[in-house]
Amino acid sequence: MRRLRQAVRFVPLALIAACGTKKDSARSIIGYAQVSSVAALDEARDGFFKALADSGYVRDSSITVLERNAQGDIPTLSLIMSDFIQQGVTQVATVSSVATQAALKAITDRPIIFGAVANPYIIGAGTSPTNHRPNVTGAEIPLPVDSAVMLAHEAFPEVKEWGTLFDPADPFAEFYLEKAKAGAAAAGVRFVTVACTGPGDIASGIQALKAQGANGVVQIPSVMIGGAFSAVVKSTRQADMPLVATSTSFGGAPIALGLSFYANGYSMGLLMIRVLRGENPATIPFQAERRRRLVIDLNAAREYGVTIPATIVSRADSVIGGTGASVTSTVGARITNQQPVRRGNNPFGFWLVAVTQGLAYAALAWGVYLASRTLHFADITPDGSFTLGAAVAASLIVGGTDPLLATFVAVLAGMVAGYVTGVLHTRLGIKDLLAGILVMTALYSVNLHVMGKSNVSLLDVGTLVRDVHRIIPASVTWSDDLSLGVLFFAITIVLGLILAWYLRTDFGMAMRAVGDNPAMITAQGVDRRRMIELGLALANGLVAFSGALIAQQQGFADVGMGVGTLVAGMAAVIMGETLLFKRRGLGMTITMVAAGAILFRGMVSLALRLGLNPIDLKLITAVFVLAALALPKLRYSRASGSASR
Amino acid sequence: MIEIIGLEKTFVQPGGERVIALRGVDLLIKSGEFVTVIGMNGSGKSTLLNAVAGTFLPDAGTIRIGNIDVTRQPEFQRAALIGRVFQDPFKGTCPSMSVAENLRMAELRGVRRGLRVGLSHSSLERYHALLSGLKMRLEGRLQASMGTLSGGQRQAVTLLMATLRRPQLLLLDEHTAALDPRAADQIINITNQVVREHALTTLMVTHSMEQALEQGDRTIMMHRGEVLADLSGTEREGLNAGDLLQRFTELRYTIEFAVAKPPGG
Repeated sequence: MRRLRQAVRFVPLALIAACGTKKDSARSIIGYAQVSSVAALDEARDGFFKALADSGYVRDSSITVLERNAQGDIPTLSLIMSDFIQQGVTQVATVSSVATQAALKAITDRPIIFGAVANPYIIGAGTSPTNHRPNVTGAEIPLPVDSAVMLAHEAFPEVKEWGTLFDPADPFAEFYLEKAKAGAAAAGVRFVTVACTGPGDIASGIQALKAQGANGVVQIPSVMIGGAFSAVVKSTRQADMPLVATSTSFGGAPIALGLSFYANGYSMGLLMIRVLRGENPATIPFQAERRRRLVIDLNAAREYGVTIPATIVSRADSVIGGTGASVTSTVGARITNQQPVRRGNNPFGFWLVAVTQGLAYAALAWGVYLASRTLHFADITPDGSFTLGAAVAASLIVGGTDPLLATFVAVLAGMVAGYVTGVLHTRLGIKDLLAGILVMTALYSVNLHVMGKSNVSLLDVGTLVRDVHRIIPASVTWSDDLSLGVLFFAITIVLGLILAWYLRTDFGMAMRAVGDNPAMITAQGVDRRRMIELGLALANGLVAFSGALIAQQQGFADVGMGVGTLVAGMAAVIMGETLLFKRRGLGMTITMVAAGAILFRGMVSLALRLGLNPIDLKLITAVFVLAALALPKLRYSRASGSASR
Repeated sequence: MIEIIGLEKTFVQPGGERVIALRGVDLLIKSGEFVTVIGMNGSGKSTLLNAVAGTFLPDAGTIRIGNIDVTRQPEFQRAALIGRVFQDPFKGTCPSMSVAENLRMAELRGVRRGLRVGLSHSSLERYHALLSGLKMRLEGRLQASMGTLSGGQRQAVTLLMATLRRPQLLLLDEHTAALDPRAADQIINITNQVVREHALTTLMVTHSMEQALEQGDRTIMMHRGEVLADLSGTEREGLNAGDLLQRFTELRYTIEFAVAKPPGG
């Protein structure tokens, strides 16, 4: 809503700019672009505008600012840049490296002032602080990853091997990994790394680090991993690995050593003022942020069950939580609602997580089965409705809604999405594939609106897991992972029984017949179109349910988590059918499709465990699905004459 | 009583060519009457059947079944009044579902389907008895999937399905054409049996002159989307296929001559 109002406010300004009257050209129009709304970048933004305001540049009165946020969609950035040119902005401010990259590419004839860039030389802004592109200057923020590793060693000397996740697509990954290894060499500890291509792989990535021998994590900065930092916190907590963050904007780690993004943004603002006053950016050297900030979170330390040496606490710029009763009381409200995370040192922890995820994917597989096998409808909506379920559940839970109710609402949202796909197909005659693509694309925006940002964290809020702990007697000391596994198992059994019952009812039978023989079921007085609409609603309700469960399992919802959902669901269905060998009863098919989902997650986890490059994971998935598809074909090719129908 | 008044339908081919399939067909069928329809390929006999069933909506004309005007009703809605057996034995049943499930679905034709598991023990017993009556050794295969049945067996089950809930009108579209002679005979016998038993109003399309004359009590001959002849009672008795063919040739010649005559027509 706020964004909409802002956009409306810009319309008259845009018109003025488009008219290009000479009088207005004297007034500066700053085009401000940011890639997404992660905490660090928002801090830099606040610092930037504070610096402007402190020097008397008031937005909408003495200067005009066109503020744009790509909401995590990187291709949008270049659109923003061409919009800036069209609107006649006089200066461009970019926060984050990708936004700066987009500006460097598109804008050469007016000043660019950047902030929150770890290393401007890697992205081609220049070769040294003084030797750089003539229209570019800014404030770099080289995070002290090496110092963070040394500090980690000082705080936890018993940890002999540290590790980090990295995003291979991140342009600074290599830069920071080298820094981290240099720090580890200086401290005399081993340092291992695991690549991680998406927020959904963080939990298994931490498990893989542990499998490689690491017993502590110093997480290097990364836009993707930072956006889902709560998942890193959750996974390291459960794996009993102390966590040191390399940016103070990432909450939840006991120790965070970083630089102030706010100060960095403020420096960037001061550079902007110099340019506004007529200075040439070519003569302004890049400025690097040097002021370190050490944040100790004693609440987090308690959650991790670690103690931080007093010598380090005394050096901290800021200490969250405390030992005194007065401090505890301020967070008392939160703590009553919250039990300490139950951890178990289970050697099968990794596989437990894999099976739990597989169980959550069973609903997805059933949804895909319902659409593709029962209705014979090639439905792509799941790539959007899976995220929708996660987004709705996470947003509601964060807003204080009961997790059970939130999950229920998520299912309803998924059903609406499926229904819309159905209506597009049946009433407007749009082909099934295209109808699904349209809805899936629209859902991306809907999901962003639902969450208000690209990632919603569920750390430390009551998910379904807490409900389980409330039900089971206190004497049962299950870990969070085990409780979740048991809960998902129970849910899957109940859901499977309901599904088997439903498909045997008079209504469910008619739905099965719609895909099997549309002419026949119409002759039996059934409205085929209505059945497709309701069937797709049901299928996507199941998919959204799966998304809601996964969000609560991994501790966050992310706008990008739906990519590949349909392939995963299809893979589960195909594997389930392969397990069946030949046509069996309905109950058996439903069971095997769920087993297919678990097996599929198991294979993905195995690939991770074996240390296969995560970049190849999607390729391996595709090859595997292909094999499952081709095998039965090859086996029956001799008898294809009668089996082909 | 079935009333078909002034029924017209023109199909536009993908190339833009217009094909007139029905040119003003009038037909009145009394309750309990068994009418056979004969005609060459493209004469409009199947089009007439599909228009009544609601596969498409006609361009002009009226269709009444009982006292209900179904002309604009969608296919699924008027299915409450109509039982159908298709030429293609695959078309009338669901191959992946069991014989019992297919029968249950047909038993609810035109009825609101609820969230109730309808296949009860008593309904299975009832279906067993009905299948035994067909004498096609189907009674033991209630739980078998429909796809495992032979073409003749499928048509027998489809026929049973079409009449399980008594229809106001039974439509048979060359339902023995795809079967071997022995199976075709069996299906014709079963057809006569069920039609007589329930005194069903029936419209049967066939391409066999013998079948058209031997079955039912009235024969409609169609040509180029029109009713060419309507034979019943004494006029129809004693006719054989040869007589019918000769009559057809004469009538066709008269009509084509008449059509060709007006200039620019």
